[in-house]
Amino acid sequence: MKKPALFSSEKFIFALKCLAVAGICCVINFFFKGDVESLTRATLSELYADGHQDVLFIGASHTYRSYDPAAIEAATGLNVYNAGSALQQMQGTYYLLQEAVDTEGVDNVVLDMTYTMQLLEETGERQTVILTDYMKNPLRRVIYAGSVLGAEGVTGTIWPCTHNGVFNQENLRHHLTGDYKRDYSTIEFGEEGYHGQGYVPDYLTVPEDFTFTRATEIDPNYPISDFTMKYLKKVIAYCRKHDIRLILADPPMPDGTLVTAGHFQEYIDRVRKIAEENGLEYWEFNLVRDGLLDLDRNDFYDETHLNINGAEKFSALISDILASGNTDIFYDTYAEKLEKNPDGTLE
Amino acid sequence: MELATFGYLLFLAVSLFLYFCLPAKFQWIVLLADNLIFYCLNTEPVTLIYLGGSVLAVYFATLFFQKSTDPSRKKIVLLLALLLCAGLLFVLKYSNLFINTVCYFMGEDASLQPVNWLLPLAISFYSLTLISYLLDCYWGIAAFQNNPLKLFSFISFFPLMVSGPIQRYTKVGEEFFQEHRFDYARVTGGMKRIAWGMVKKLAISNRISPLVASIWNDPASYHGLWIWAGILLYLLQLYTDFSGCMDIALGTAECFGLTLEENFEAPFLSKTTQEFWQRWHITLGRWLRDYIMNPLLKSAGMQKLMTRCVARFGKKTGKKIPMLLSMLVLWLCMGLWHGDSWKYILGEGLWFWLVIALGQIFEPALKKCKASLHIKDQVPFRFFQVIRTNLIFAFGMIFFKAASLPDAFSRIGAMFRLSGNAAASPIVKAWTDQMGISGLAVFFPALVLLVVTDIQIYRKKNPFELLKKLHPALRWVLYAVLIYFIMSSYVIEGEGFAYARF
Repeated sequence: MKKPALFSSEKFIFALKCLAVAGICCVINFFFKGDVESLTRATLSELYADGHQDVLFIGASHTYRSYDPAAIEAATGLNVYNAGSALQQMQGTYYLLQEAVDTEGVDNVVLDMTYTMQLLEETGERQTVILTDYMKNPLRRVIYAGSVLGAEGVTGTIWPCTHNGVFNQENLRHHLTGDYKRDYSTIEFGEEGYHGQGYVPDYLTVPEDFTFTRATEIDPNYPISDFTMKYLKKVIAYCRKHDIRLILADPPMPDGTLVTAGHFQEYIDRVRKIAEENGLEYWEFNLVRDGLLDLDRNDFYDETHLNINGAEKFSALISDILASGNTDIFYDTYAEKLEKNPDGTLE
Repeated sequence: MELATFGYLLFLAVSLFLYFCLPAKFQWIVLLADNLIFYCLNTEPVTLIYLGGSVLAVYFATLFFQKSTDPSRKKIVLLLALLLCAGLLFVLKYSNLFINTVCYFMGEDASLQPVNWLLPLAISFYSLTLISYLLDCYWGIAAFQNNPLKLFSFISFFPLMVSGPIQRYTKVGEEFFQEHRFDYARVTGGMKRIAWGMVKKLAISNRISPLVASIWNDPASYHGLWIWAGILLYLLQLYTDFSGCMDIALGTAECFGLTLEENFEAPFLSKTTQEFWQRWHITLGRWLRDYIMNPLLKSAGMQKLMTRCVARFGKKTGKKIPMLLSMLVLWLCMGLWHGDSWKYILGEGLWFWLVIALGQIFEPALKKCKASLHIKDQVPFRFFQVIRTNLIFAFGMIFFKAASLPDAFSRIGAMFRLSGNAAASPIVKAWTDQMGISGLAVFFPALVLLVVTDIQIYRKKNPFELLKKLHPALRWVLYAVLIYFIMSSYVIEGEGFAYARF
């Protein structure tokens, strides 16, 4: 009996039709992707165009709301970039860092160690897709999205409109008129704005009657999840392999929040131990000495984030550190900091 | 992994690629691997013990049927295997029905707590497939499958492990293990069917779901006609959900070269409740008929009863009594199959039995009445019949939708409370605002397509054959529109398939 041919004309026509269907999906995706105002799209497209980075700040919203690259560049003369993205977790950081390194390299990485993001046990869908939608390396995209979301994540990297699509006339108009390709160097979104190089400050200040409460409680016996540790180790190994100086950094949070979270000292001890074990620097900006960073209620947007005023003060301090190399600016313990330099958010 | 997702399509594409690339003797192994992966992706892998244990028990029982010549021993083995399959189903699925009933009657004296078993995937579906195979082997109808892994592969065929349809080994078993070469017509046909299933689920069911929820979740504001409207819309949601899932499952099987039994044939165009149930969840109805009702009717006890009834009430009525009793058992099983609550037994079971039984009892009188009123079988009367049948079905489905039996009764009471209703405009406006013009432009054309295809199916025509008659350019425009319907509806947060919890 004659064996059927591996590639018959029927299979060829079938393959063509499959391609046609995929093509239709691509056209629909092109016109209805709902990311006209996506901050991460702006952040990543600028990152790829920005070339070699002397310093890369990377992490979640505490990163993109805290470090002002333009101010830091002006003060230090370094080329810096803020690769923060919403809810970014250590897994996302690991893949995004590789993207940045692929783009003409990175010398120093300031890794966000805000405690709220380190307690989580798995990466969520939203924080994954907002990165994979714009990552350049297709294989990395597929591996990252696939590891978090399975097969659904893989198809989502091909047709992002299946998770972010906005199927209305206005979005179609944006895509047809070129709004989608507009200049993103600065753009305002109501209470926040994109100021270029990944920096997205908040303009609002917490209301007068705002009470700072814990964002998440810290478990003294488990201050960092195993999941975070798994990818933190990968980040450390990756930086070591590529000869990148890695700094673990925790941007300032209101003392009112940290006190109610409880056990913040245990968290500091854990990160400090990781840093020591791996020969890394640890900049804990919630331990900054009196007179170097004076924050009060007016410097915060909510219970965990700095607003534009706070970010301005904080970026000045970061600039000093990067320019002088002096990191002897921290108290040993959080109790000492609370005693000598409380930030005015404690009731 | 939900069936109506692109992730599933990717999984299917990889499976099909491997399936058609490998030699025929390995094809069933691809399916076995797919089934295991799909199972583990959708539920706790540890529950495979139940499925594997049931399959092994049935395998050894059927092996025994092959070897043994002693009918009494065969019967004992059959009963043991049945006890295991049905027992697992009852324990895992109906423990809480038992516990809740005992607690209801004994009050605080009963120290029983509801249990929360880890349920195997699609236990209500695969148990029935296994039982049918076991009985068919016992009766000598089905061919014995001598490879337990192949039997496992058949029972756990992945597209059926969400909501069925319930298959019979006698009908598909042989085809399942035959060599399947790439068949252009079957694969493309299957894919079109999958796409249509996704349109039903995503563009209709998921889109109507918020409107149904708004009406149903606010009984204080929405009663009277609103409940009727709500339940009719819920029927549309449930039908497009369940039949959409079936289209995806059957389309998937078609891609693999398998023709499975249909589960729906345009039920909402039925003229009687009996006909409705011959078109709605067909495989379950047939299973209950073949493995519950018919054996019961043929049983010695029922035959004796029939003889006595014929002697006492005459031939016509005497024969009807055992038939109605057997039907009662069938409908009680139908209700019980749907869930661990009395609401199913009453609403899905007794209600429909009552309607069908009364229909049969009063059929001669109704015919006479119709003749005396000179009503002819023309469009208006047929229209009336269809509406009546759908309303009867809708009434029964209140029990299905309600949270509990008391909730169902309270909804039924509220159906006839006509005063104090909220105005229609806010709820409809909220829904249309949520959908937007672009959403409505997807929902209503998809609905029209649903009606057109169901009319074709009712007329015993394959709607996909009609597609072939279109000019290729027009056909591809239609494909593009359907793909747009799917993609634009994909982002809407929907519920899982309604029957996936069975």
